[in-house]
Amino acid sequence: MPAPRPPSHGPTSGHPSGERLEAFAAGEVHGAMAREVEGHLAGCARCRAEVEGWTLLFGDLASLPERGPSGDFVGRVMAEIEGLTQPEPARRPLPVPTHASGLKGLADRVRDGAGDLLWGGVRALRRPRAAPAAPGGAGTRHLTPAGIQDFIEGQLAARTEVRVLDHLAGCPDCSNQVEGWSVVLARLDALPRLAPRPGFADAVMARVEVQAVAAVAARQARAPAWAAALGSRVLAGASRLVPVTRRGWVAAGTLMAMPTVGLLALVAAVVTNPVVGFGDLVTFLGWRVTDALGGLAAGTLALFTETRLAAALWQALFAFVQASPLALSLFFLLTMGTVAAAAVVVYRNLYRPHEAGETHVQALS
Amino acid sequence: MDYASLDDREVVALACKGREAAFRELLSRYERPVFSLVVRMVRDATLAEDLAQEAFIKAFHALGSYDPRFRFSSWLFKIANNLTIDHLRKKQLDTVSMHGAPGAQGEEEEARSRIVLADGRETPEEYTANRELGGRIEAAISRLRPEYRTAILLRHVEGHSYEEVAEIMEVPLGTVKTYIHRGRHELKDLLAGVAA
Repeated sequence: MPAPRPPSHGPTSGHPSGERLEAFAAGEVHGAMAREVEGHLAGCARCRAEVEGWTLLFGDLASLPERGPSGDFVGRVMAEIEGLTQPEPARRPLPVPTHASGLKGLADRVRDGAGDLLWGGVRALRRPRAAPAAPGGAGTRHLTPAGIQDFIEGQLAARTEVRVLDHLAGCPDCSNQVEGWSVVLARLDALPRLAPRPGFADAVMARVEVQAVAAVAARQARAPAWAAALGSRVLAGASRLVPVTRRGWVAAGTLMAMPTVGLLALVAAVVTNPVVGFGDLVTFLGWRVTDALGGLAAGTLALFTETRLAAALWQALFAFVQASPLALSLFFLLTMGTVAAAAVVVYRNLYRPHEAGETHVQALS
Repeated sequence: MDYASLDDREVVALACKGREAAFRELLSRYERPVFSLVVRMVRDATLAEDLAQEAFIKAFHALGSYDPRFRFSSWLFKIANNLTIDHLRKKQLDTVSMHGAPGAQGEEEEARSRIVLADGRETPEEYTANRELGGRIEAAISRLRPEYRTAILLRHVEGHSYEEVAEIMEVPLGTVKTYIHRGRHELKDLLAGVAA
């Protein structure tokens, strides 16, 4: 059986107990014990953080002002007490006529029961309300957990904070809640920042191309500001259209599929038509596609051939064909040399690993 | 040049001009905050280092698109948070580190965040006596939903305002407040339940 792990918090662990640290923060530890705790805190960051958390909590609690009840507090309390001890109104039985002695007892019982029911209801209506008026004004309700947290963090408006303080002055339940939440928030605020292992920065810098970053930043800085703003707005608007939840993606997918579904439904309607067959539909679609592609090709060709640039190129080509063999050879050599240089540049930049920041110009050197 | 005295925006501007020292200055300012956030989200020191490195590399390569009108820290945390959330969604981690908070430096920090669980050979009294404050908080935080955890850590560890947390998490302000309030409520219940 392995040796039990020594407690990490307590008299045998070397650390003062939680209660002692709390008492120390509250100033309730004196003499040798206080000196012992101070000596430990000088070398223990963890216990210092705990004492700091308690100190913050006590400071917040101590800053709560003392406020007295408003209005005629004593009078209202006494009125509540008197209301609770008010004598019940005398029961008034219903007058039920009796015709025979044999029925008198039954009639009496019915009368008494009905009277109980009736006057019991009347007494309930007359009973004073048991809900005490909260100090600080009529209509004040207890604090919600969210409200308590906002109060502790100072997130409330000034007028609301005053009402809360007024309520806390007379509500021990809410005051206890505030105390409990303050402890939780103090513990959260005392959480330390954790550090990565040494060498983290070097590992990051080894993978960052500093010059490439600078080049991109310079290029983006040269772009017009309006273009950057427009681009960011377009991206921001487009990002808002991207669904976030699963339901959103289902809805988006359904919308995107609707045109296809509609087209399929149209095709199905056409195909199922007794007059038009599926083969007729395919033939018709083939004609339309062929016409469209032909028109596109003709238009593109005309775009390039029926221009001055195209005419000039044709003339240059004819002149080249009729040139001397020497000129043709030189042109061929120039073309081959350009292709070879381009191949070297492509090889150096795409296939061979290069140092960070090396550009294609440098690759040729 | 003393980079430590410069504002974040000024350091970023120098980094955009290719000054490696500016990059290192940004790293020295934010490596601990970013790592702290990520490690408490994924609860694995090695994985957290990888994710934090990816976050910095991604941020540095995108420095040209950083808008100086916004805080650099918010922009950086947004990148780190998105990266971490994407990873959690893919992996759907549900592990708890038993040997102290991941990334705890030194025996004190590790002891403070160690999660001590009863192993059947400890009595309940020994288990309660052996547990320490720091470990309870870390264990409780690890049990929160990722979005609650992020909001709580950004608010309390990094000290961001509600508006900054909303900007980092890219959710409305009301949603952030809901996350934080509910997260704290769960923490309070977890801490109270452990202490009971």
